[in-house]
Amino acid sequence: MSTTDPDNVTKPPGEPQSTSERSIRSSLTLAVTIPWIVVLVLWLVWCATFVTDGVYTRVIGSGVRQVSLPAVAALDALQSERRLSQDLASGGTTDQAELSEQQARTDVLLDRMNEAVQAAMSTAPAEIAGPVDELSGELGKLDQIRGRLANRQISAGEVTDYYDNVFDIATDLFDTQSRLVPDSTTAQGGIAGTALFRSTDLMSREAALISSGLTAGQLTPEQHLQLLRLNGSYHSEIEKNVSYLKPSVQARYQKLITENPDWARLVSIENSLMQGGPGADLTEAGVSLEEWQRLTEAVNRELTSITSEQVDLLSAETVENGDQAITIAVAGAIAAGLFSLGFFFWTRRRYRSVIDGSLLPRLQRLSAEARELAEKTLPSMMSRVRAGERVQVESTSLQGYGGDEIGQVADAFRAFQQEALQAAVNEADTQQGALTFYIGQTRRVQSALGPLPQRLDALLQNEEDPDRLGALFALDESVTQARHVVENQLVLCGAAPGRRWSRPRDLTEILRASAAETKHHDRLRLGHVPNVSVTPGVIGDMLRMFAELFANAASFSPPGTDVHVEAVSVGSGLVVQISDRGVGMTPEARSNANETMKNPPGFASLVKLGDRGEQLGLFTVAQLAERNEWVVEFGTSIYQGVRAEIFIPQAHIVTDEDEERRDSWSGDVPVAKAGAPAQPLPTRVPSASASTAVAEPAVRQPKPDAAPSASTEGKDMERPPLPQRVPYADLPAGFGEDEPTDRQSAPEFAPGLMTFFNADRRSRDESGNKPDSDDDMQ
Amino acid sequence: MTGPDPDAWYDDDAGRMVRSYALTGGRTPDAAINLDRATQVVATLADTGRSAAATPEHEAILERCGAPQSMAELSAGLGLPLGVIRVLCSDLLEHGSLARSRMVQPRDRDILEAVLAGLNRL
Repeated sequence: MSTTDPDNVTKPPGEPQSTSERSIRSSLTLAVTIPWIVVLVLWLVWCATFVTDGVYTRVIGSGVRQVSLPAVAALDALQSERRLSQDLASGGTTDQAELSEQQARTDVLLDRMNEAVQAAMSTAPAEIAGPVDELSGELGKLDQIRGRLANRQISAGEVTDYYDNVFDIATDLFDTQSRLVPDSTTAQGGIAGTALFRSTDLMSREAALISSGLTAGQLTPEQHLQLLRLNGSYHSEIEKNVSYLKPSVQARYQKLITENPDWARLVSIENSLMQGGPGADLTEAGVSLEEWQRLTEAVNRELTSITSEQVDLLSAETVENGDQAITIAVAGAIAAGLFSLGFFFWTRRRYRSVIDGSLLPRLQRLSAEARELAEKTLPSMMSRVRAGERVQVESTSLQGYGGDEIGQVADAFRAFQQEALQAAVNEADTQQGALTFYIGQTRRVQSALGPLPQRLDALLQNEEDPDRLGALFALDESVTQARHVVENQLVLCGAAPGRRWSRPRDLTEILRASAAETKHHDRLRLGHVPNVSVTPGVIGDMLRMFAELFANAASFSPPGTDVHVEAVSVGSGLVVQISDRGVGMTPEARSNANETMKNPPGFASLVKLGDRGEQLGLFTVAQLAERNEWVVEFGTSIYQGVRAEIFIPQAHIVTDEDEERRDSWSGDVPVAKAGAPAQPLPTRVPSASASTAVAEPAVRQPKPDAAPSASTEGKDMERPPLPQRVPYADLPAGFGEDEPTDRQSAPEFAPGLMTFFNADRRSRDESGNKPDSDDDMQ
Repeated sequence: MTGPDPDAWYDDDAGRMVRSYALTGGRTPDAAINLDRATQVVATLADTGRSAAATPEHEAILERCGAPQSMAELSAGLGLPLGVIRVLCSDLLEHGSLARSRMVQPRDRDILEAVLAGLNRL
């Protein structure tokens, strides 16, 4: 996770994450957010429940207030109309006009009730809407009933049934309404109110029954039975529910039954009528129809009034309860919401301080440091280890992460780094040990071989017997080739090869010497080679590389064919061409070889290459060329074989103009040493006459032994000798390389004598002295 | 390479760079061509030169042989083994660019004895 991701840093917790790859931060945020969403939902549900309850209660209450009071009034009017209608239908004293008046009053109140109902129906629950619809439907039939009554086309029974049905529906509606109220106390009060209404209704029916009895003079047994049922019902209905009435209503009821004379008279008439039994003559009961009607109307009105008061009080209380419930719910919701909000912000701050303040920055730092470790520190340490450097395995990185889980991860990383480094160090040590052993062994071989060439030279010098000379040649060849192999091994192992040079040497000489290091030396054909020398520092590598290329060319061509070597000066250096007349390389092999030259493989690749001679040779060439920045490329030769072209940069070439720099050679030997006894650069002065001067002081006389080659001499002929040098021609291979250089002060030794001198000096070296060049330096 | 390596061989400490056998292509002197230590050779006047000089060493011999030179002189003067000089001179003799010199043939016993006597007197 990158520390530079601004989204993740600035995004507050709780915001949805859009990244597909979840970070720890977003996962934790999600985990913390979900409970808060749950809390929010619960809070909303809680609010909704309580507020809904309150609102519901309030709706019911206000519904009761809006609907029930007009309804009670309307129904009371309908009650009166019913009484008159029944009276009229059963042939009582009531006339049509009186009924019509009552009908008009009823209609007004019914209209008022309908308005209220219509207004309230929008919020009314389904349990109420049903009975209200039913009631409206039943009331719709009222006009038809009235019409039939006016025309005397309806029986008293039908009228009674119709009104009874209306009142039953209304009573059921009130009952349902009462039971819907959630608050149980209110519901009880409502039920009690409904009971009062029902009692009033029942009493009306009883009154009508008795009225018709008084009109007829007696009660039929059915009517008497009906009377008993109605009377018992409405009394018990009231008494059952009186305790649930509101206290003021209850007191008013008590007052009615104890103090109201109408009530007492009514009860006594009822009782006497019931005691009279069916069929008794009602005229003897001592009650007139008028009196009965007055009594029932008065009591009925009082009961209706009591009912109205109960409903009024109760609905007011319900509304108040609803308001209170809403208030409590809202206040509770606000309190709970505020508390939750406060807690939420506290949690958020805490979360941020943990996640943003301590957890994530540490994780990010750990991530960055681990990445740094894996991508930079470890590889660089590994390469240092492989380069043979000593590194500190104990690491100081990934420290200071504490002891928690992150700290443990950091410890694990650190342990991993140390293990990896330790393994690399061990491996490097093993390799180094093997290499050291290998180099040591090779050096022992080299020490044994080293003095042999010079001794062979000494033996060869005056050998006259051809057979022994041939044997010495063969021995020398073997020794020289063995030395070549040993030196290659040392160079490729990174150790210093045994031979070094302090002075530039002719390219021709180097080419011939390199051929001599292979067993095909007699196949070398030197073409044109510019008369240039090679700086001492690269002579050894050049010898070894040319030897490998020469051996490669010779081994790829039929025995007996020549290997042509030419060199051409180009602007920025020199190009040496080695051509053979072999069968050539396949294009694939050639491109492989060129690839090897461009990207020299490491030792590890030898496992793949195998130990075939040419592969080892190319490997060696590639290594030598790379470290000296030579360019080797294989192409086809005009002789139809392979032509290897080697580019040597100008920096490795010494020309005439470079002679002035001869004292600054920094080749295989220290500069200080190179300066003193360095052999002067061969100057291209023609040697005209013979001179046998031996151990003569420097003379300005051309030396006859200094004729290097026909080609170079021809060129040099035209050139005058350089001023302060003894004319001294190019020396061919083996010609007095170790002569003292300072011609002005040192005697000029003949090269042949120098060989002996060197042999003598070598013997001194073997008895413990340093090599001659050291002596020269001192 | 900060200092001289005592184990190293500088320049021609390890013998001449171009080995003797390479100078002759591995050939040894032919006994039939009798060239001993004292045999003198001289460049022929008909020396058209360079074509005979296959190697720089051939060239060097021809350069020195403007006046008669013995094998030993050539060997010492060029720093080359006697055997190598003999092979190379054989090549040149065969080619005709070199001839045996008869100018100095110090075979007179009297003279040698006189010299010996004179030396003894010293």
